[in-house]
Amino acid sequence: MNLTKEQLQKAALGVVLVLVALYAYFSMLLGPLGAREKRAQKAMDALAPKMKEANTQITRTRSIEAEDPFGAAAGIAREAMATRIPDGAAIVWLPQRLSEFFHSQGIKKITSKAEAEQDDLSLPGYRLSTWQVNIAEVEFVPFAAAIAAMENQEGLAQITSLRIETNAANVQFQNASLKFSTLVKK
Amino acid sequence: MALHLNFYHEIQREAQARARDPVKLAGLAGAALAVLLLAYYGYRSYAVSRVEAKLASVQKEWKRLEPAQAEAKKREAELFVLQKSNKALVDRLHGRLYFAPLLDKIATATPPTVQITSLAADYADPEKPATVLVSGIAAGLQPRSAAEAFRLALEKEVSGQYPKATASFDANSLEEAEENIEWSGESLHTARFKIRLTLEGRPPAKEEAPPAPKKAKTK
Repeated sequence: MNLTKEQLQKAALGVVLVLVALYAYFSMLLGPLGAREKRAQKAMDALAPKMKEANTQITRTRSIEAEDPFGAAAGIAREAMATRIPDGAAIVWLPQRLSEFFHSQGIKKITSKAEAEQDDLSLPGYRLSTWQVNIAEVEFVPFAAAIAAMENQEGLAQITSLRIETNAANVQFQNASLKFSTLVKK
Repeated sequence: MALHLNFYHEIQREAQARARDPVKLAGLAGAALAVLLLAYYGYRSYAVSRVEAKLASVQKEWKRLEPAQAEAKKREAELFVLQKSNKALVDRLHGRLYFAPLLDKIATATPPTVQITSLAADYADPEKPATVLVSGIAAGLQPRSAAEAFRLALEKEVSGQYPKATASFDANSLEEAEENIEWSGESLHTARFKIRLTLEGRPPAKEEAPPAPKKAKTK
């Protein structure tokens, strides 16, 4: 095949144009497309472990929330604490409550005093208050009944010390004293 | 053989030459290549847009999850504190030592010939056993034996509730007294004693304490 000079020039120009078009195609069209895909894939790969960790964290928190073995009992106790423990200093309301309680049990000669108060680190918002109650001239049975009633009604109170002494002046009666600790609001 | 003359051969040759024009053929091939490349670009564009759409959805999900994770982390820390607090509260409620049933047991174990003159119970530390010091006077023909019988009865009675309970005389606390008492027409010797009750281990948790003793034994 013999090509004329003009045809040869056209062919050369054609080859050059094709090469330019191919370069433009790969570098300006496919190149950025590939880079975008790579960027998107990299971003997804980076997010995948984070999302897995987040889902694990959320599931773990939900299971911890659902599996508190003491939650129900403590919830009831907290409700009772919120309503039964008045606001304000225990020294204002507790002696009166003690006096009313023992009077309702038929025990009249009672004195009470605060011994100590300290933070209870395991129960935020509450303090552990220790009190001493002295009862003069009390018969054993009413006193024991009062102790039983107190232990039933005051679920947060723990008697830490109990003394019962014979009353030398009147053997029918005893002198009693008790110390107990209870929770009060801060 | 007939002679066949083709007077159009020149015209036909020119037509063939035009059809085989390399420039024209190259143009056609170039156009075909361009169509193929454009089609491939379209396919790649679609594939990349799908990846980007997926990324957008993942990012949207992450935007929702990230604060939820931070919240869950914070909540987890709060839950640990709350659970610890709940446990402390429930332990306090259910792990209490009830003194009323203890007084009931002591009253039940006390025979008429024993008088308790003082009782001192301490339970200051829940980690340590509770102690009860019972002081009194026992009467009998053999007052020391009467006191010993009371000690054993006390230990047996309390062991029903506290399996590891022990009752023992304080050192040198059991001594005969000079005074005698009259009981059922009999003159009985007396002995003073101090019995220390140690209550190890907690009884099974109860919601409520049992009722108080029904009859008095101490006077």
